[in-house]
Parts: sequence; C-alpha cells; structure tokens
Amino acid sequence: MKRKVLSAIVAMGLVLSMFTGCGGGQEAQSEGTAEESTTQESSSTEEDTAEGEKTDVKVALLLSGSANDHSWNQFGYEALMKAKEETDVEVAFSENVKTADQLQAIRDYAAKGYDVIIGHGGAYEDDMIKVGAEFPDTQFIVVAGGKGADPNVLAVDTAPWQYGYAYGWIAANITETNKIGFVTGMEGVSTMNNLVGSWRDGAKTANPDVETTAVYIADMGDVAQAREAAMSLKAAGCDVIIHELNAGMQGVVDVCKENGIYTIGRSESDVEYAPEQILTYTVFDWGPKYVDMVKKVVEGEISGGTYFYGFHTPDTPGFTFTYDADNGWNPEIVSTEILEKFQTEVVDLFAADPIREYTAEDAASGTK
Amino acid sequence: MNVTVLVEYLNSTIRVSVPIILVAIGVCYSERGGVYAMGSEGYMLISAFVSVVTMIYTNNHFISVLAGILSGMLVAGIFSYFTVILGADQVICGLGINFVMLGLTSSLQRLLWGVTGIPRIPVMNAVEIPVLSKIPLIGSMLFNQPIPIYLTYLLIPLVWWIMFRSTWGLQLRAVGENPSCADTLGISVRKTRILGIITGGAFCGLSGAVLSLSQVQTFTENISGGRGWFGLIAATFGGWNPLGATGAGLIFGAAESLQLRLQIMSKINISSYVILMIPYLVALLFILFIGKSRRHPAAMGKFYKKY
Repeated sequence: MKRKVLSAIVAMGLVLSMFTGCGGGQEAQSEGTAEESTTQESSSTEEDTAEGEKTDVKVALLLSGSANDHSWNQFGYEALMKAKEETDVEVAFSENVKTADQLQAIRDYAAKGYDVIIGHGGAYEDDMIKVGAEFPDTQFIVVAGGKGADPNVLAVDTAPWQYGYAYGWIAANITETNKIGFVTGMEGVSTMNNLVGSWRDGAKTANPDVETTAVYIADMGDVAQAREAAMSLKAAGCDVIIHELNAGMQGVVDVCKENGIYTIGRSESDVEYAPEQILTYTVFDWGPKYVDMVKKVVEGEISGGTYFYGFHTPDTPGFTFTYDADNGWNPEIVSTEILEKFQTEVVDLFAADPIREYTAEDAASGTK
Repeated sequence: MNVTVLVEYLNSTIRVSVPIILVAIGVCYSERGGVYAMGSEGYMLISAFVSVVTMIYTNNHFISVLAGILSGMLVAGIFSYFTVILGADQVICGLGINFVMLGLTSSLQRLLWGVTGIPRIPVMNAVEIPVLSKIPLIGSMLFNQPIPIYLTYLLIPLVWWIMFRSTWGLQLRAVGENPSCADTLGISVRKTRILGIITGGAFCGLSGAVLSLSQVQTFTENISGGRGWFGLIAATFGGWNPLGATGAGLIFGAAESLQLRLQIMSKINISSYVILMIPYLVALLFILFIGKSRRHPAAMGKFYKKY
C-alpha cells in the first residue's frame, strides 16, 4: 500500500515540477488597494463635478499576479497608470486574480458598471468572451490575446510574426555557417507558431540556403535545460541562436558568450554582459499601447476582434529593437547596408501588409 | 550522426546526469536507513541558493560548494528532527521541506535582489586532465569537466564502499531493515538514521551547488526543476545501491540529452512534446515494471519508537 502511495506521489511530483515554471506569485487575493478604491470613489462624486474635465469612462484592470512583481504584471499596472494620466479615465484594478476566480472578477466589474475591462494576459481571453456575451454594452480588452470576439471583446497584442521575421531575416544575413537556431518552449501555442514560423520564413526569404533549427524545451524557466539546448545547437553548427524563454534565456546567452555565437538579449544588462554577442534586445513598452488602445476604444475606433501593434503602427510602436542609445542593432555585427535593406525588405513589407499567420507545421521542431 | 555531434552528446549526458546521480546517492543513504527522502528537491534548492550567494560574496568556488553542502545538511538535519525524533510522517514532512524551500529561496532572492535580479557569477571552468582527455570519444566526456564532476567520480566507489563494506554502512542498513533488532545489538537507531539523512542532505547539497555554480551560473526560481524527483526514482531504479543509482542517473541524463538532439536531427515531423516526454516516460515505465520487483528496506517509512 505504502509503495502505491509513494509511486503516486513521485508521479505527482514529476507532473508538478513541469508546471511550477508557469505558476508562482502570491496566494492572497486583494481587490485593488485601500487607497486605490477610495480615490476611485471620491473622483466619481465630488472631484468629478469640481474639475468638470474628467470623462465618465471607468476602466478596470485584472492582473494575475502582484502589481509590483517587477515583471509582466507590473508592466500592466504602470501602463494603466499612464493611461489614467493621459486620458483622464477613472481606473481600478485587482491583483492576484487566480484562474479559478477570474470569471467572477470580470463579471463583478461588468455588473458594477465599468465601461472598459482589461484582462492583462491571454489567459483571460475565454472568460472575457463568455462575459462579453452577457454584457454587450461593456468593452472588454484581452492584452496579449489572440482571437477576441465581435462586437465587444478586443484582443490586443504585439504582432509576433513581425519581430520573429526580423530576427530570422537579420540572422540569415549575418550567419557564416548558414545554420541558425531558435530555443523556446510551448510548441503549438499560436504566439509561438507565429514567432518561430515567421523566423523561419524571414531567414529563408533573406537567404534560401540557410538551415533553420528550432528546439523546444519543457520548462522555459529552466536555465540548465536551455543551456543544454543551446549547446546542442552549437554542436550542430549554428552561429546565431535566437530565443524566447523566461529565466531560461540566461542559459542561452551564457553558451553564446562562451562560444562566440550571436544571440539576442532581453534587457540592457544583457548587452553589458555580452556586448560582442548580443545583436539587440526587444523592448515591448506597454505604456503607450495602453494609452492608445484606451483612447481608440473610448472613441469607438476599435471594439471587437483583434488589434495588433507593430511596424505598421509607427506612432505607437509594438516593439523597439534596442542595442544602445544610438543603435537598434549591434553596429559591429549588423552593418549599415544590411540595415538599409532591412528597412525596405522587412519594415516596409509589414507596414504595407501587417497581418500574417503561421501554422504549427511552419514552427515545427527540427531542421528545415 | 557525425563525431562532433556524438562527442557533444556524450558530454551533455555527463552534465545532465551528474546532479541527478548525486541526489540519487543522497537518497540511497537516507532510504537505506529507513527514511523516505522526499525532501531531496528542497535540499537542492537551498544549497543552490546558498552556494550562489556565497559565491557572490567570497568569489571562491571551494567555499561556495562547501556552504551549499552545509546548507543541505542543515535542512536535512531539521527534517531528521521532525521525522526521527518527533515521529512525524516522513512523506508529508519531505514534501513540506520542498515547498518551504521553494518559497524561501524565491522570496529571499526577490528580497535581496528584487529589481536588478541576482547577479551572474564567474563560470567554473572545465579542467582538462592531460592524456586521459585525449582518449577518442569518451575522453573529453569524462576528463574535460569542472572539478566537482571529478569529485563525483571519486565519490561513487567510496560511497559504495562505505555502504556495503564499512561498519557504519552495515549499521545503517540494519536500522533500515529491522530497527528493533539493531537496537538490541546496541546500535542507536536514532543516531544512525539522523546521520544517514544528513549524509543524504550533503549529497543533495553538492548536487545543488554543482547545478547552480557550474551549469546555471546564477540562481533562478525553482532551479532544481524536478531533478530531485529524478534522483529519487534513480535511487529506487538502482535498488538503493550507489552503483545502481549511478547507472540509473546516467540513463535519465542520456534520455534528457537525446531528446534535444532528436529534435534537431528529426527530418520527419514529430511533435516536440512527444520527444520531450522521453525522460519522463523512461521514469514512469521504470516505476511500472522494474520498480515493483525492487524490495525496499523493510522498515522504510516506519517511525521507530524506543521504549
């Protein structure tokens, strides 16, 4: 009996260890902060009439983690505050909304009469579509969502196929071995299909002789695993390795630094760490996008379906390639000629025709 | 498969296996004494954290590895107090240790280096052993590695000898098989078990230090990522014999490395999930088929109360 229990626990442990990478965060669920809800109350009554300038639009934000996690959820919180400053809307937010509670949280805000409800993460998409049908007069926005629903559920994201294509295009232009690699996880998720598929497409378009190899790892937060994946790409002869990982990206950057392979970073500190190996890091500043999407929604410009930011929205860029204050790409590696070609062959291409879609087959693991 | 790829594959197998093997050895010591080593993942985590922090402040690999081992022993000591002295449920306690260590290391990391993230530490360079590293194929796999890996090679026969040829090893196995009999012969069941658990903690600690110092080169949340569990299975696979556990650890390491290479080489479209499953499948198949035939120490999981 004891043995069976033991086997069951070991099996559970294995399964758990696969999921921990995605989980984390605090347990307690707090609905906004005390100050936040009071500001919201007062502004809706006295201050509102006193200033006479505020719009009547009330915006609510749902975060899956804590608003000061120095990461995804904090970006969302800060973006909301920026939107509040620049558009004069009233805001409220809930942090640590667990998956099991999110449906109720969305419904609560809708019932309380909020006009715009933003879910910060693709995980809110299905529940928002469900509640969206119940409250046709409320506008729902899924940040980093993929499909949305007419007429009132809007999925907003940065076009992953645009920067994926750019990575592939640049990599194919600088490779000497004609072999380039990509390390990531979550095969089959639509963002990954678009990212890896477009990376392949961009590379093959720039140079049809390039061999592109994608490796998927089980845990995007596992540095040692990512390291092994990068080592295997190195052994296969790749001299440019792109990645889309969580904490695991450090393993890839380490291997690239040790072996003179070109790669990308995630922040300024990566450029400082491996200035000769890092090509660029991509900044996804959600602040301007929040301001823009709230404005567009309030003005009725967009309301349902999908909306993407990218090369085609130069006023509110979806992403910015950054190397240092003056350069988007590492000037030692990516020459001005390549960048001029990049402008016409990549930027202008997407400015004219922004939407693409790639399938799981385009993004399949292995060499193509 | 050409030769460079093969050599790289063998190298990778060693890198992936060593942390698992070390945990498996630790588990052997704890479980031969009759105490489930469910907390191995937790010992690894705390050691990985402590060794990286020590490395940041001392910049000395030796001291950092030592600090990691000591932290593993300390936490194992706490576990042994609850299970051997107070008689708490070993499985529950072990799982508790894992969760507490995961939370503790993650929060400490954020508390200390919240905004900037924990710094990277200098790489632990591979030390090439002359002549031996020139052996074709297996040369660079076995003899061009960081020092803790060589230490592991030396430790494997040593721990086997201690377990099966030394008096203490005999006592440890005795308290795991029949504690009351061992007690009547004048062996202190408590002391022997506690020592076994703490030895286990030391090996898990070494494993965590190797992982964080020589491979990851920093600390990240949940850095052990299930390696402690693999170690637990490898120990069972190897029949609680350090040599068998080593073999099992190598099989898991080889499976894990193979799946990365299979992805690269596959010309046909197989979902990466199917390939990623390989190491887990190996583990599960083992539990299903071979696991049953292994006879675990008779008193495993049972609290021994002295009257």
